[in-house]
Amino acid sequence: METDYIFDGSFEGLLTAIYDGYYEKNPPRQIIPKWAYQFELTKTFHEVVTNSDKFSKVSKAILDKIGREAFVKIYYAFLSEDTYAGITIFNYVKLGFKLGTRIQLYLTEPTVAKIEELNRKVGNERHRFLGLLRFHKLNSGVYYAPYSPQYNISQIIVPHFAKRLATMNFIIHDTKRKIATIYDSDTKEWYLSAFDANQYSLIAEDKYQHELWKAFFKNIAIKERKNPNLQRQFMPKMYWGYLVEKQ
Amino acid sequence: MFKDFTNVNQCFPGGIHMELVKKLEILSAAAKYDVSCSSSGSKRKNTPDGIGNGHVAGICHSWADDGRCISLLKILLTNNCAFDCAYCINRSSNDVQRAAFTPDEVANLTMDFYMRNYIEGLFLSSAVLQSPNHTMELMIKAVKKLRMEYRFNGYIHMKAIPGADRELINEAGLLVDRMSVNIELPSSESLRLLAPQKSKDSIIKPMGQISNSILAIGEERKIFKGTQKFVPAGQTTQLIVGATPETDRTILKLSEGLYNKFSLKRVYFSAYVPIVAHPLLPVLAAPPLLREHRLYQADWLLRFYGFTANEILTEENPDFDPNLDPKCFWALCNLDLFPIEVNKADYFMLLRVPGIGVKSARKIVSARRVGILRHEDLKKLGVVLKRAKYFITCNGKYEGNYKFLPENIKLSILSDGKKNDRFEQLSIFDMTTKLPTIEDQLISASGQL
Repeated sequence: METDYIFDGSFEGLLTAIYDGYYEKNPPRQIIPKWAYQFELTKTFHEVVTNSDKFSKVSKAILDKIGREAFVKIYYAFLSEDTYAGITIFNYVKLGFKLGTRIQLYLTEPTVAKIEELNRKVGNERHRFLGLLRFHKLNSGVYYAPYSPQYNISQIIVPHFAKRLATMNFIIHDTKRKIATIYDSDTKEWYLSAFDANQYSLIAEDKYQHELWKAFFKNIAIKERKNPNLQRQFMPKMYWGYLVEKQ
Repeated sequence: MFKDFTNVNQCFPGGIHMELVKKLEILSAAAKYDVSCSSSGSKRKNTPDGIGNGHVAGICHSWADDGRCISLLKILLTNNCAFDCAYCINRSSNDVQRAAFTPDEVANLTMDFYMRNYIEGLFLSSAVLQSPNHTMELMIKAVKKLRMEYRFNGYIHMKAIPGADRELINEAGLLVDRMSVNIELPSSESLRLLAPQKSKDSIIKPMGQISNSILAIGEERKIFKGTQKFVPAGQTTQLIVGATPETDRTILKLSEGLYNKFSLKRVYFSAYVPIVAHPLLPVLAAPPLLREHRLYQADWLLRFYGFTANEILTEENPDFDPNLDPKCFWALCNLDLFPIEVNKADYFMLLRVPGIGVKSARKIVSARRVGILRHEDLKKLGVVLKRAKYFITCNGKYEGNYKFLPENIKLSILSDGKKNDRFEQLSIFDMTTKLPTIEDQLISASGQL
């Protein structure tokens, strides 16, 4: 009989759940992070215990049998935090073990189509924030970028900035999930950490830069061609809160 | 969100910084008619002690109130111009406020904006200050400071000033990622009338020089890896549409020629915005945006869909149909080639179906290897069925519902299009799906087309 699987919300936890899905008596009905699960007295569930051995076995099997491209797609789908991401990934892996790398061709198969859709969404938001993220220079010399993305994209945008702004110390702060990626220009390394902005005194020195940037933003538009719909379509309002030029 | 930020602004006492803000206002407003915003095509890597790198696909950092993307800090070094081109807001006889950045100011602004991720790099253009050579020297100074002193490896697009010396263009080419020379107007006759100090020759010459150097240094780099790159993101150009009487066909054939002859990366079109009154210029109620839109659509067809200019516009029909995108128009004129069977047709034929773009054509080719495609499958692959259905069969089935005649199909496509009344700059993915009907009204009001 199918049952609900609950995991700790980590990628390691998810791949452990997939391992369990193969060997447990009851296959998964859905695979959900603990924080999103609605506990009910009458429902039984299987609690996944994250296990690094199981994680490595499943990762290796995916890489060997379905390929690197599929592995990245699975990771992106996981970052979407979609309710069905867990079970879709489980079905995708199952299908992938049968079809191998050719799974990429089955674009009309519902599971594959769902994975593709989640990838498109997460990938699009990642690309958007490569442009829309705004850093503020703090009086400590650190560059601080708060943002609130729809999907959990911090891990996949940081490498881009670590390459580009390699000589700057910076913090990218996901205010929605209360996590920050902190990059250290001496060691050229970054790490992920829980982060509460209220515990730090973040003092920006950037008022003048904001003024310059806003002046540019205003004057670069051709007013005879004004088109707010088009602007919103490319740059949805939900992102405006952290955009200097939209304050 | 900034409520926990205290106001620290003591390091910039009034005077100096107000001046810079004012300059930036004037010199970005003066640069806004340059359409190119692209930051793509450069793979320049960051250096260990440097700031910045290129991103091959380019990155948009914001969108201005006109819906155009902001990728680069697009400014003029100065709008103080020795030339007097009739269509240009900065012409010497026009009464506008003048300003000039120093090369240092340009370099510092670029760094400050880049480090905050406002921009992908610098787009530096300029009016002709004293002489073309003097102007280019100042521009090179700014760019040199960025590259040498600040170790800036982000994107730089620089305008070559027509009439500047070969050596200067060469020096600039070794520093920047992209160069462009504006062709300005679609024929030498129009150029002579409206921009008497520029000649076809002074524009074509630097273009040829840049394209030759790109080729030559590209060859050299194959042998000597360390050879310095020359304009690695290629060159582009821009021309104004609607200020002079050329047909769409003339313009499209001109761009085709430029792509073939100088291997340009892009030809940009800029709908003429009536900013200065002049006896030689037409009086327009609004910029011919729909015409510009159609030209861009046709431009995609040239670059990514394997069409030639002669196929898109014929001598009998030298201008675009304002109601139909160029691909639809072509398909309706060539109905004898349709309907095609999506499970069998080759990739290039798929590309020619209205409603099927580059991405969906690729997906069709993949997906049909493992199963027969039906109409409902095509939706999942991103095909715009309401457009494509008239031109295809799926496994032998036709779902067009209309008699297979150009007029019937045109009418039903147009009635579908009515629902979509927003004008958008097209991307490669949606080029056949948008019908800008607001713009249609604008156009009929202005009487152009």
